Amino acid sequence: MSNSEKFNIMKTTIIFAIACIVLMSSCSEKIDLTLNNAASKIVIEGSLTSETKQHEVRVSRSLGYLDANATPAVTDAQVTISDGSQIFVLTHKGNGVYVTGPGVSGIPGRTYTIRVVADGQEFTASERMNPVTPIDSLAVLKAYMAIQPGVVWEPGKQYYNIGVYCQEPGNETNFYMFDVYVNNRLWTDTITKRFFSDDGFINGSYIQGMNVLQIDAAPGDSVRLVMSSVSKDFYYFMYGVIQSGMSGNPFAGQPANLPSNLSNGALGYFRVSAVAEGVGIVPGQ
Amino acid sequence: MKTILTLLMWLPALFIQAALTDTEPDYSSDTTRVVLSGRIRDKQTGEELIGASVYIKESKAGTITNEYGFYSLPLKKGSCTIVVSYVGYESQMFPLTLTKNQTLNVSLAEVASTLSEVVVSDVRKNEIVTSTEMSVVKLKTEQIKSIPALMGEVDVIKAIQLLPGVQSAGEGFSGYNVRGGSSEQNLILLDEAPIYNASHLMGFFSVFNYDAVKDVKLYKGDIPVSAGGRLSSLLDIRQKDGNARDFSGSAGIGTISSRLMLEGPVVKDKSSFIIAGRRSYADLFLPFAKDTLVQKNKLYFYDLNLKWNYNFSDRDRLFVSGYMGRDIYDFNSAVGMGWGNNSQTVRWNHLFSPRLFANFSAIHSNYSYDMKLAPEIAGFKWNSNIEDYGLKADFGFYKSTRNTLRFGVSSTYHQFHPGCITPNGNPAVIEMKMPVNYALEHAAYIGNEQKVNARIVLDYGLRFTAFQNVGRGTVYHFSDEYRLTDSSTYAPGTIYNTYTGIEPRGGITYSLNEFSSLKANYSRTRQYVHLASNSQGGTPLDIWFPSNSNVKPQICDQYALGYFRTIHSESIEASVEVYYKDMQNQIDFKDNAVLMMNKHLDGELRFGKGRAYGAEFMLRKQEGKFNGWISYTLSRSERKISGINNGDYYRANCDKTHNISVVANYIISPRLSASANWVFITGTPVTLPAGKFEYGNVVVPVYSERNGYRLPDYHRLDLSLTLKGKEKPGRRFRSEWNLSVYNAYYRKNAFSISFAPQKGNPSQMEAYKTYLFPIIPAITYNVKF
Repeated sequence: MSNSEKFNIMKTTIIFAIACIVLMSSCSEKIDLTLNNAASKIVIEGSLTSETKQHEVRVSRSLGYLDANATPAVTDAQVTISDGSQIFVLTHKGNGVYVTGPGVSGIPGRTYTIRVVADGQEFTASERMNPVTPIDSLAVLKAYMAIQPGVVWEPGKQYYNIGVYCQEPGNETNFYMFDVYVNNRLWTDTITKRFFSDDGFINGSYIQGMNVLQIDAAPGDSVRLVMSSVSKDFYYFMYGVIQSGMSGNPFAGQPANLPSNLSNGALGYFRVSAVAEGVGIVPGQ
Repeated sequence: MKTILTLLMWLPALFIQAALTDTEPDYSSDTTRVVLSGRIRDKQTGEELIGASVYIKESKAGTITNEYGFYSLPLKKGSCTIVVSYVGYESQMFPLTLTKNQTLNVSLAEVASTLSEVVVSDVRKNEIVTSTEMSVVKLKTEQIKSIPALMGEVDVIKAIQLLPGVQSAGEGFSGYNVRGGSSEQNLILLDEAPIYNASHLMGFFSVFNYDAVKDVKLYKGDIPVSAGGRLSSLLDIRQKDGNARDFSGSAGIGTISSRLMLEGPVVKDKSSFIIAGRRSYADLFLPFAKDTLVQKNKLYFYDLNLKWNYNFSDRDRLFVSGYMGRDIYDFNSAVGMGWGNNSQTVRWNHLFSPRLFANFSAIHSNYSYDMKLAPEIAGFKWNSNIEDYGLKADFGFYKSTRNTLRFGVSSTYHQFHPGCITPNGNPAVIEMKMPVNYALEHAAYIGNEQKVNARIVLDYGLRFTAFQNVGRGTVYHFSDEYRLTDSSTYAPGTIYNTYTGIEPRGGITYSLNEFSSLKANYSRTRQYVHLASNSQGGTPLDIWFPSNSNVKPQICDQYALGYFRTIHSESIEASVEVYYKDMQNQIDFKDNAVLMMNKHLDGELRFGKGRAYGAEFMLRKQEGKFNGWISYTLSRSERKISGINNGDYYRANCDKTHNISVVANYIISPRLSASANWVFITGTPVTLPAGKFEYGNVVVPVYSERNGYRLPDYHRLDLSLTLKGKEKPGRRFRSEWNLSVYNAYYRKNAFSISFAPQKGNPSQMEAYKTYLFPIIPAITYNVKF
């Protein structure tokens, strides 16, 4: 497979760097603006992974961009996920969040379909769970410079790079998402803090401690890295999310709507991932 | 289409008609005729003057010098008075009695002081009225120099953006837009070599060091038949040849850069050279930045211009010129970038006869960029370039005072290297090379300028172009839904795709009287190489790619009409021009397109059409104590691309309804002069969100209409003051201080609009505008010796 998927995150880095040059001397100020409002649409954010847990789906509505309110939850939707033979019925937990039962786990290789009925309309999406390669070990090493776009070092904090050792399967193009927990607390608590990568430059190689994330931590902290396989479509969806965070950067292409995998004009994404984990300890001084 | 067919049938007829009706008999057999030819030069430097006027006082017949200062006038034997003139120079008159072919080389002296209004009654200053060219603007380097500039850095491209019909792509962008065309549609030639990216420091400055520049000419529509390959415009920049009389030079120390230029004879009046260099030191100011990371950055550019020429005889002359420049950027040793142009031209002028002038050129041009990412980030190096090798032969045949023919051929070999990734301290990185593309671009042209009678002058020509994709190459095929279906691979040397086309160009000048004329013009242009850039105004990392079976050549038909006149004893020029442009096979990119390192780039492209129209008004006074110009452009530019904006017309990025420029220069005393310029430009179109939703704690925008909003209107005033040092008799040393203020009334012009969540209520998005420049004062010290 192709090179055509490559380079996205790198491009983001580059555009970030270019913007840095220009914006180095720039100033910003708040302005008043009136924008036309688009019609409200159903928004679905959900995932199913190979982990055994309660999997969540959130259903909400879109609003006008400058609306002061948070986007409202949809609390009366019917949500199911099926793999063709089994059907999991999700129950409303509150605030538009729907959950499966506690013992549910997805199986790599199967295709999962979500079905949401809201406002009398049906919205569906399907994804295949791509397998993930196991992580052999992690390297947690002291960092000497800030390298992650969007992460600004705060004074007084110590930063560490997390490197991964694993065998990249060479047979196909794979896409990955990385999350990290520090002392069992999710450090990548905002989606834009996560790291996304394809295997464009590394396809089939043994990965020797490639840095995936830079975190602030203290010696002795436990680090758990979660590597999730994601589909190409989700990778592009996230590329769009990151790009949209740079909207108004005239170097970064025309702003565009995100490529949702949901039918019937719903916004958002239903993601299916297999998950591998690696653990490490932040070294002493 | 019908118009074009009509034109095509009409043009050969014109050539025949020109041959038949040229009442002056073929002179080679006519013993009553002679040819007066020669070169017009600057008296002090020996520099040849481009576009100087040579005419016969009695009959008013005349010509202007070509790009090499050469003119030729086939005349009747006998007595006449030849007048030679050039704006800013003292005119000269020569009573001659012509009995045989004669060479008349003239050296004109610059008007001693621009303070005194020189009015020489016999000088023809109404060139704007009589010239067959329309939609053309010439700028002299002295004029460019007097315009207040950002950080005191005199800039050719910033100066042309003050002309009607030319829009800046925005502060901070390299590009400019001509008559609603995109910035990739401008052909920029430096001594005939194409410059693929004319910007330094992300577009704050251009690559042209004015110390080395002799002549700047911008063709906004009426691109001469001898040039082509871009849709919108031709910016023709000629470097100085170097002082053939004396060794001299100039130097300057400015706020952001320093310059040094040396020129002089190698063999007096036979051979001369020029060398000019410039280095910026913007990075010296980085330590003042707030961000500690920024303080460690490196950021500078340099330029080097070189030229040497040798005059073998009045018939043969050789020019060798070169340019190289580069931007270097290092972000905290983690990201390093460099980009720049490198070009060389070798030219040989030969006079086959006093009536047949020829120039042969060999041209090389390379634009490259590279990037290095430290092992901690990604650990790879990346580079990309486009390289051209070209050969050209251009002829000027001065058939009679009525007909001047130009014809020629050219061929260019293009190499496109879209990118190559190699490991940099990261063993996991696999080398990845985008396939290189090769192509040949050929052209043959013929044109004639025909003086039909005292009132009507025609200028018409045909340009035939061909573009050939040459193997080795791979073309990917896509379905109607832009899904990759299969690919075809071609062996080295095979020509696997050819496009050919005819580009008719023609114009008519009708003189209403001595002071005013009407001009009409039609031109067709074709463009075979395109820029993959979906940013507003271009970045140095954009890549060029060729037409192939997926990407059809861009085609533009432009129709223009103009009224030109001189007023107030010919020292004020006024013009009004209207134009309409119809553009086919325009290129845009799909949503979230991946343009870098993408073998399947063709699948990211979307095609459609464009239209642009407008009116341009200009009032210009070039001489006198008080000089300058006022220009106003009213225009519209739209695109209609399948799959974008629901397939409806949308505003092009360069659609800026109103554009006003006022440039004024006042000479207070022989030592002191003041300049000001003011610009007003309608805000750049932008796409802003209409809705929002939340995903993973992030507020994600929803868009409805492409370029449906505009940034706030842009306006700015710049001022400058130049104080010349005392001139000491007998010494050539001159010095001057230049003080300038950019954005004098501190307009916070929006560079972009962005949004951020309100503190305390992350659901409420708030709009922010980013502006780049506060008031920027600058000081420059220049010397000439």
